[in-house]
Amino acid sequence: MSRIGTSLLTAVALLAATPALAGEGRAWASGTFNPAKTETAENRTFTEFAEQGTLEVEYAFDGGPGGEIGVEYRLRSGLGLQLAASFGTRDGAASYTAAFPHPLYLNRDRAASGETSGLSLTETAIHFDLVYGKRGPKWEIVGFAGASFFNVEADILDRPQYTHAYPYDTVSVLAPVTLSRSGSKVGFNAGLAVDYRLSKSFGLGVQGRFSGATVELEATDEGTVELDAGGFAVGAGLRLYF
Amino acid sequence: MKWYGTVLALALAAGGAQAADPTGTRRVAAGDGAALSDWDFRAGRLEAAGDLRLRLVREDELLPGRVHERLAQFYRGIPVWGGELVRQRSATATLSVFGTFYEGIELDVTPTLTAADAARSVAARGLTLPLDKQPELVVLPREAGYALAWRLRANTDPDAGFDARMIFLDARDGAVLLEYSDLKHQSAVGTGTGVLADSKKMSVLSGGGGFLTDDQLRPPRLRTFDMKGNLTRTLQFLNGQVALGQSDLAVDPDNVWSDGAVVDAHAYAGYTYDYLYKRFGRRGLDDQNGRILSLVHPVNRADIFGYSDSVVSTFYLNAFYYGDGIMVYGEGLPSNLTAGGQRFNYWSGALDVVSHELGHGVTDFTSALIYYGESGALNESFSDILAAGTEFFHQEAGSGPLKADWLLAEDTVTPGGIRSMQNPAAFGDPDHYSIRFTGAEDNNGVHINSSISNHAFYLAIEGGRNRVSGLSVTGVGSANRDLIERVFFRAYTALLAPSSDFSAARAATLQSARDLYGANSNAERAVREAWNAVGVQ
Ligand SMILES: [Zn+2]
Repeated sequence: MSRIGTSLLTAVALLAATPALAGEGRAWASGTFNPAKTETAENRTFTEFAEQGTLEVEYAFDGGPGGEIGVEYRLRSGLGLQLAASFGTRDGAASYTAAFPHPLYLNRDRAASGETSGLSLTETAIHFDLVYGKRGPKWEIVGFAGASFFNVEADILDRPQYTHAYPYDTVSVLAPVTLSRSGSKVGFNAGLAVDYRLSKSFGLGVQGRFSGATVELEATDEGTVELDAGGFAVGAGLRLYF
Repeated sequence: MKWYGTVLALALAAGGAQAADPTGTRRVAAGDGAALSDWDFRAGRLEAAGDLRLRLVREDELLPGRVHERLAQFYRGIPVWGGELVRQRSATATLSVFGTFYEGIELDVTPTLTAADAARSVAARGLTLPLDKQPELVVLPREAGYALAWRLRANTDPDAGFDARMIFLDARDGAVLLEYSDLKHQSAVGTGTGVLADSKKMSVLSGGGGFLTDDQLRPPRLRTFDMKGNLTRTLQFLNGQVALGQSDLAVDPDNVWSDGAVVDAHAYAGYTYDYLYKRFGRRGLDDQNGRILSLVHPVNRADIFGYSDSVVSTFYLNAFYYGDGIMVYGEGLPSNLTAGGQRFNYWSGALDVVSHELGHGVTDFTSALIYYGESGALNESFSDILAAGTEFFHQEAGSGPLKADWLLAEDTVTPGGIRSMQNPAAFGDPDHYSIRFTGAEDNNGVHINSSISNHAFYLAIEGGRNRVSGLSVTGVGSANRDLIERVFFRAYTALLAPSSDFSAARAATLQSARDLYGANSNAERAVREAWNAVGVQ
């Protein structure tokens, strides 16, 4: 869990310990699952043997599990503000085709292609939302929307290393090397949560949050990988009221 | 003397592995804590005994708090060449030990030869021992065992091509135990603009702040010397009076080459090597990756009026294979001059010219066809055959500059080139044996009568009707040119003898065609029809 998460928990605890506030508060911790696959492709160029080579990579990251914690403060009118931190993890794979310039001849690229799996992607996000909710004796329904700040850390492919020998017409690519790269971007989110109150202070809830941003990861050579972060994550967990 | 070396590669993260190589060296890569603590302990003891001595300590630049200690191996106070352990430490523990430690050394460390003796023996070979690099006594591990040796790093004469030699002399009898070049060469690939303004790659050597025409990527020593118009030095080199060295190589500061004569001589020598290798599996002129040296700018165009006719015809109006892998490319004529109505550009600017000259090298190392009369005409023809083959291998078929065709030197001598394999009569050369040149000129017509074999080669591929005999040939077709190229290559290099004549060439190519493609194969038939058409029986 991120440092953001830890500080949010602290904030929740402080709010819960302050019953004298005019409105009412709500805090939650949920396990989530984001079923959305994220796929992306990149084209990179590089200079080798006085000529330009290219690397085209397609990435596919599966949906994966994550979690979310948050705290909300709501006025009597039903309007409120909330702050949440979420994270999600995904496993992925990449396939590439590369054209390596020939050392002895112009315009005679050596082609190579391959794939690799076991790539990982972790996205963390802070969501700051406007909330409107209706709270009944047992049930509560909350809608929210706002801005999200995403940070994505993902494995991307480095330019494949290869060996070659005279007459250099083909290359033998060594096992692909991945690099961990991260990037941040501000995006948006909106969602809905439904709580069932078990007692004055505790409850259970389900939620769905749609969020999105396109994050750029800087590759080696001259290239960037643009990844769609977020998706529609569903979750369920504990609720705390104060 | 029994000995063995232990190569250690110990790391916490590595998995255990053990392998043996034929010299008896044990290589260990142990990842368990026991192996590491073993070698940590052992290194400490060896250090205390003076068998390992701290040579260098470096703080880790990437991981703060880590230190790397290099412990050089000594035997009775004498350094063991290559013996060293590298210990990685944190503030509290040893984290890894890598390296090589030689065990089982038993040597008398008193040299019979003195340091001065060693220095003298190197100087006697014409090598220069730098003043600050005196001989060092070392223990040299070899496959045959350990030896006490004087280690010297000495430089060769720049005239012979500068090199720094690492030499190990036996400290008992002065024999050379090991010697290698200690110059760290680096390959580089640049681009160049050829004589005809086309772009190509240059495989060169990087060093000394510039780039030099010494191909590091192809297997042979393939170098291009810029003679800078110095005919005296060119002749001295050909006469064996001076050696050409690194300072004679063509130089470019940024690896974007603009001297077309240099670019093409260097690149096209490589193209020809590649053609020989890819088409025939041959490794260079001698099939052993022997040297290929190209000399360009043997004269300056501007100096032409100061030279005799014979210098002009050799070093301006010609290119030649001197022997021993040495090619010399003529300078061509100043652009306002013509000879016989033709303009002459730098001779290396034509791929077929370069390949033709290198072809003479192949002949020299194989059939050694005597350069006179019919055998000489076959020698010339073989070079033309390789020239055409190289062109069609690397260039698009067509007419005009940088196209593959059946003309010779058409990219250098314009318009038209100097010979035609398709239509020899266009240049006054015989296209039938019955009209062969029988005079004494041209070594009894080596360049003139080559056209008879050239034309047979052409007809076997392209087909057609001979002008003199009227006989028609069905060629194998240009898409199958490689068949006929192999037939002729194999016949002219492997089957012919130094004084073979045209009739022998016919027999050898037919034999070659049958060997390669079977009796009555399309190739054999085409070759037979072709020789019939040009009147060679
Ligand atoms: Zn010739």
